[in-house]
Amino acid sequence: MARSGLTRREVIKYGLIGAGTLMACDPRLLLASPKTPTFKPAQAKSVIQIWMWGGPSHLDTFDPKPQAGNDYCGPLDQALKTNVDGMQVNAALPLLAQQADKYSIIRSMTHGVNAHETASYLMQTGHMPSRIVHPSVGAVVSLFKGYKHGYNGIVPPYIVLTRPQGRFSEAGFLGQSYKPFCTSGDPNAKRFVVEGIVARGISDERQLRRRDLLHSLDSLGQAIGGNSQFTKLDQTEKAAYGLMFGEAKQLFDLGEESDEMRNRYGRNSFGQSCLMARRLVEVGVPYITINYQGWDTHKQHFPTMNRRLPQMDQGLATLLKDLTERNLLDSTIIWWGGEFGRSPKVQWNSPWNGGRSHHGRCFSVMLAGGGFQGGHVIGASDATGTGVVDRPVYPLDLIGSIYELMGIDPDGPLPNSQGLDLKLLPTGEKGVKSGGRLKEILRT
Amino acid sequence: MRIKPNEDPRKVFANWLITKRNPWFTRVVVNRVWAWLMGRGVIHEPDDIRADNPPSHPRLLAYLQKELVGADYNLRHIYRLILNSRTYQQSSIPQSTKPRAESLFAHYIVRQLDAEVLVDALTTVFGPRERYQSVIPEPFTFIPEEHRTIALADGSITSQFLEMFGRPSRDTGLASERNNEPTDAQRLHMLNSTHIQNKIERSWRLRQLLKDAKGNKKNVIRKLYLIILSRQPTPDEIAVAQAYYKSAKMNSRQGAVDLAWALINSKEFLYRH
Amino acid sequence: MRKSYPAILIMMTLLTSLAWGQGVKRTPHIGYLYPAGGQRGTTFKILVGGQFLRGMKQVRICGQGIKATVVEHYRPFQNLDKEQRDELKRKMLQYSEKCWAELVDQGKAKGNPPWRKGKKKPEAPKDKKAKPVQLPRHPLLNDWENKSLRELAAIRNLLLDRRKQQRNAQIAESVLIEITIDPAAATGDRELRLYGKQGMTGPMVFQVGQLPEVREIESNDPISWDPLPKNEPYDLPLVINGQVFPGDVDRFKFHATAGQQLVFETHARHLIPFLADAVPGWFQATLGLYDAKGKELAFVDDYQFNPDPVLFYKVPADGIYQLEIRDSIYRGRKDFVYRISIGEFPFITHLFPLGGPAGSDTIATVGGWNLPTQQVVLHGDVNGLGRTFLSHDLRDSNRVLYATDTLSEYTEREPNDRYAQGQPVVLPVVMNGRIRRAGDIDVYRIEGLAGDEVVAEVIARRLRSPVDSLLRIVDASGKVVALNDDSVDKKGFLHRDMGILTHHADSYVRATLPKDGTYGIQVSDTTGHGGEAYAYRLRISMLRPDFELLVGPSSVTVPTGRCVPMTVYVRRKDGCKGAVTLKIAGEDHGLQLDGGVIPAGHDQIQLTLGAPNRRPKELISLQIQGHATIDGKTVTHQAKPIDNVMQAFLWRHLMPAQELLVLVNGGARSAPLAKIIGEQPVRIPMGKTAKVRVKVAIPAHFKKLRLKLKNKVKGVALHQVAFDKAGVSFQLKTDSEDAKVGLANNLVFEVSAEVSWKDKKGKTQTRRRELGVLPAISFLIEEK
Repeated sequence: MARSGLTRREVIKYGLIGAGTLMACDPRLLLASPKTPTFKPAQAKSVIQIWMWGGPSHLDTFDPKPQAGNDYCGPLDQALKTNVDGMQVNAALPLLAQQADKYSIIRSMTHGVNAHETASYLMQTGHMPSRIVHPSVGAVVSLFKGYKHGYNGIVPPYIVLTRPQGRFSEAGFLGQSYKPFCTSGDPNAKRFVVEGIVARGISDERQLRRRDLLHSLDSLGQAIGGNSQFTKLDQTEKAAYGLMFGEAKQLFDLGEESDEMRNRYGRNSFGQSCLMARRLVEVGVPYITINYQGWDTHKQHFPTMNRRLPQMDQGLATLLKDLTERNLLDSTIIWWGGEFGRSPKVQWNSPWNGGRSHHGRCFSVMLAGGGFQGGHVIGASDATGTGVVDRPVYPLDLIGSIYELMGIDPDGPLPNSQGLDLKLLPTGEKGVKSGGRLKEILRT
Repeated sequence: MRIKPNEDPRKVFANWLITKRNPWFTRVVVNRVWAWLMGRGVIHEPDDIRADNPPSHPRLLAYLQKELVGADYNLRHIYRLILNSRTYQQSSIPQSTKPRAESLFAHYIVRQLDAEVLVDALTTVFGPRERYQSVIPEPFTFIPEEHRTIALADGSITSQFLEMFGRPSRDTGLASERNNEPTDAQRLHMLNSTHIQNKIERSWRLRQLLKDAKGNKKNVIRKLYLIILSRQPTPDEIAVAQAYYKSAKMNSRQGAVDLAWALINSKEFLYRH
Repeated sequence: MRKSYPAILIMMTLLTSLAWGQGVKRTPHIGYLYPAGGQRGTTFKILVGGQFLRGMKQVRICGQGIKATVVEHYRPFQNLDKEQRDELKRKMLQYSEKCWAELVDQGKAKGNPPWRKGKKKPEAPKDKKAKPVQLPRHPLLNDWENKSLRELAAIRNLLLDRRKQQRNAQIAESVLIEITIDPAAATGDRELRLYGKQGMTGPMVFQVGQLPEVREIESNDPISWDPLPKNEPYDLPLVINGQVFPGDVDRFKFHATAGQQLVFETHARHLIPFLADAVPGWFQATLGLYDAKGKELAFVDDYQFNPDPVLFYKVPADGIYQLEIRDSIYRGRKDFVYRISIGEFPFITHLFPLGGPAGSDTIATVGGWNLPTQQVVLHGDVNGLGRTFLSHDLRDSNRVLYATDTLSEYTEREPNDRYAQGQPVVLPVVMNGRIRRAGDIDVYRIEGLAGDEVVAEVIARRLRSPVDSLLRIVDASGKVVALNDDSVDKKGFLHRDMGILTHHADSYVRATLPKDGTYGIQVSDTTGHGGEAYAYRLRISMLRPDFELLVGPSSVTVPTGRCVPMTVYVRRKDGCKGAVTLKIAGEDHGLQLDGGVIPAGHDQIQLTLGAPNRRPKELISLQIQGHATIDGKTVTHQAKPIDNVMQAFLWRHLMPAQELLVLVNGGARSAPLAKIIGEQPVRIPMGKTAKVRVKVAIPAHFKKLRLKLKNKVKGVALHQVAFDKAGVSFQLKTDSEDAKVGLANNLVFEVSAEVSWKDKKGKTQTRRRELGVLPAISFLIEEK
């Protein structure tokens, strides 16, 4: 028997179950929406996470070590002064060097994990793997800032450009409602075919006609009226068509931007993804991940850097400049980083022949906007970039700072429909290290 | 309970688990089988076995337990019992509007197909096979195409479709981790994704069907109903489909594609009834 | 300066690549052989896959009876562009049509080929003016106009299926080699290396077999989407050679008759034990046996602890059976090469005892499948570890390992399961015992005095016994004095004594007895298993200090008049502490070992091997020997050649090789080898400096020369380096933090120069280039 007047069926009817289990919990908890914490007011409205899949080399980007010699730098052995005194980046990023006043670099990011899945999970949830699969930052933001908190944007609140990470569950145990919407397709292609919203070769007219056909052939639905599952299905259908015919289609149409603007970002997938992210921020999407793949350079490291760093430089620098020009940078957090860095010592021997392996002991993260002050360097690595010598930053410090700026209490509970008593981050738990949140750059 | 020094403690545990004096194991097994077939356990949720969550039909559960033990734990016997029962064979059209009807198995519970079953069904109907691979164990794993999705052994080898339609990553091992609730993303995918569009438009089976029908639209309609819904269309349905062909001035192939699309998006296909 | 002209040329040729891959050493490397073996008495071609193989014009295979020559080198096959793809498809169609026409003529096929259903036969292209498209050279496209339909389909899948291609530069080049094996050549594993002017590759396993050999013909997946004529079943016995590509499953049909006792022995990991860039770090093969209808009859993943599966099957009825091999998680790559031997040949599954006393022969009992005899001779004239097998006309059996020792040997006497029943033995002794059944414990009783340092060591897994031993020393009251499960010699991620084993399961216990009395030494199996094959040798003795030497790499390339670094590992046993002095044993061919003393307390050292200034005609097979003084006596051991290989991006193993080969390349003549002037070791007083002078001829045009320490040594630093015409002088000073009196080690210095060139834009670029290594300098820090 249900505990308090609400039957399990009614709970299902209201569609309130995320992960679906009804174990040992008070149904009233389920009805209550996650409490809007009386925490600091949010400074940022959106987060653009540039996820460098595979782990980007910190020596070749934001923590150059030109003195360390060929063994460590290979051909990328020059550092460049930026437009901020005392701040240097690798010479491979000349455009970002001119925007240094907008972003800050953490050079002492550390967690010591060198395995892809564990490090990805740790960097994006703040937790080490355990029995509970925690939701990533995107899912948490979607939970606190999504549909249940007044978000009624034309697209879902958590968007990934363009492919899901693979072997990483963004929503964790929170379940499907908090999974991101992955666009698929290629924003640099002639037509950005966003999954489900843009379909090749089917005209709008045909879409509508065959929808009518679908409705008139709905024998089972007509036979069983009033089934809660079917009602829910009909609602989802309405929402789906809303996406197909609504403004979402135009939102994803990059042809609406001028050629000049598109060229500024760079005519490649990453550059156009940055442009798409800016458009999404403009309509108020709270969380966007640009899944930038291909940084796991065990082999062919330097030729790959040669090809990709200019693309990254152009896209990212333009994004910062563009958001600033549109007065959006102050309310948009940009978070650049991967699951770890890459080994400072280059592996010249076979079979790597000039590659870098994983390095979770010390690596770099870049933060901008949304309440993060620019032009600062937090922490320091040693002469070769191998270990942290000053001010270690752990994943939960980084994530906690982002939550703070988004108006989410980092020390608060993680609301969930399983009735589990969980905190957002493991700060203060036994054995969990913390370097403290990024007070150096948090604008108070 | 004594474990001898040379004895493998796992064997001791396994024997204790299945001893006839231990009621829990048998109860859980038959409850789960019932839940798989009927959509809801006699004790619901199937993993929520505790004293203050009693079975809705205690004598039914006891009967099934006895049968399992009597058949020497042959699961096929339980399957046979349930599948041959009137309870299982009930229609899904409810006879009663009372709210408790469903939990008392007064009608067959309608529920969405599991993700793996759905994608295998679409593959069987249309043809182009799913491709599963994993890029984490180098060199990469490529599951042979003839393997069915229900046979995917590794819970982390997945596809967007499977994740979207509720296939769990088996982090907790609970039956409730699988969530078959309809979501907007699922609907959007079935209605308008490239994946489904490709499946229909590149289907060799559909092409063969059209060729064999030699332009006879009624045959096409009948054949599609048979393949997708496993039944013949009613005369009304045939009329509606034929009207669609005419109104849209569709050529034979486009019409078939749209009809197939409508059928796989219908509740009858997506739901077990 | 004329003498150093060839040296200049050498230096210049080494400085060829000044673009991106500047730090990349273009060491020639073999990734795989396919097929990785052949039948004796035949001539055939194999493909060697690897990198930087152009210029590798010669083949070295150890042992007698094999000749091999290089036929052709193929560059890496890049992705085809659109015109090439179209040309490939067009030619493919043309050849397929030809094959089909032939099949129709032979009556094996009728009507239109399946790819042309409903369409007309394609006409020849009308546009004769079109430029012929050149397809790149590829071993698969050799002679493809004569290949069968099935082979053409396989070529198409391999070359055109982009989705599964994972380009891997390390195995992208190919070299075609022709091999002839004498009919009387010894069977078993050989080592194959390629060499040429630039250098020599590492060794790769090549097998000499007796059975007829076949190569798989793709596509042979269980369900093939290509409409192809069926493959004919094979006749046994035979060896099947194949490669598992990504997602590939290989199935073979064969005839078998009722009563046959078939052995299916797979060699997959055996051919390439460790892969640096694969997880798990090797090809994990599985074997499945099916009847003609496809019903599974047997499935094996491993054989005991060995990842290569071995299947034994008694055939129930005449008919066609199917064998399937694949990777356990459907990975695949060109270097996932396998050889499966199928037939009624002998396979030894167990051996007892696992060895005997050195100097005399021991008769051991063997068990297994299809054995011609129950006994085999273990010759005692081997030093430590020996190999034996049962010879057989059809196919010699698998190799089994055994060990010899100089101590008295006895056989276990059951029952000895409890302390009270323990078998009394007198130290020092080697016991040959068996964990006969699951849960069996063997106890041996010894008498000891307080303070005695007793060692008990199990030698089992190292001899490929399935025992996972657990050793306990208990006193009379049953209290455990010492205990050990696995004793691995591991330093960081480097496993020093596992060879190619996947798990070091042997136990080693060293204990100081607390009081006079009787003690029990208990041997059991940690996993609780047992059986006839679970044999072990147990050495019980007082401390017996000894050492083992391993030297790597096993393929050394050194230019005339120059040095290259090598590493020697010392495995110290039972507390052996002293220094080990190394030298070249036998004929040295003008080679010179520098820094050949491993100081007390060290377990590895970097030294250098120097080449004479005249290039010898052939490869040099080198023996390195080391001696140490243990308890007043001189003990000498040969150093075993090894290669330090990586597994799965992280772990390292010292993989044994059969020979240590040196290739001296470079100019036919060169400047003489550099020489350290003065006494070695260089004695550095604590807190002060010591002068070192090295005579070395460096061409004058190299500027801004610098010395850098190549091996990590703490406690000593370079000081005041001065290059002149005849050599270099420098000082070594003690680095205050890490230095202490008695510290000794070798220093391997690298000479580098600054080179400049003009890039495409005309701007002068400079880089630092390594020129070579000085002979190793040994030092010792003394009192002031």
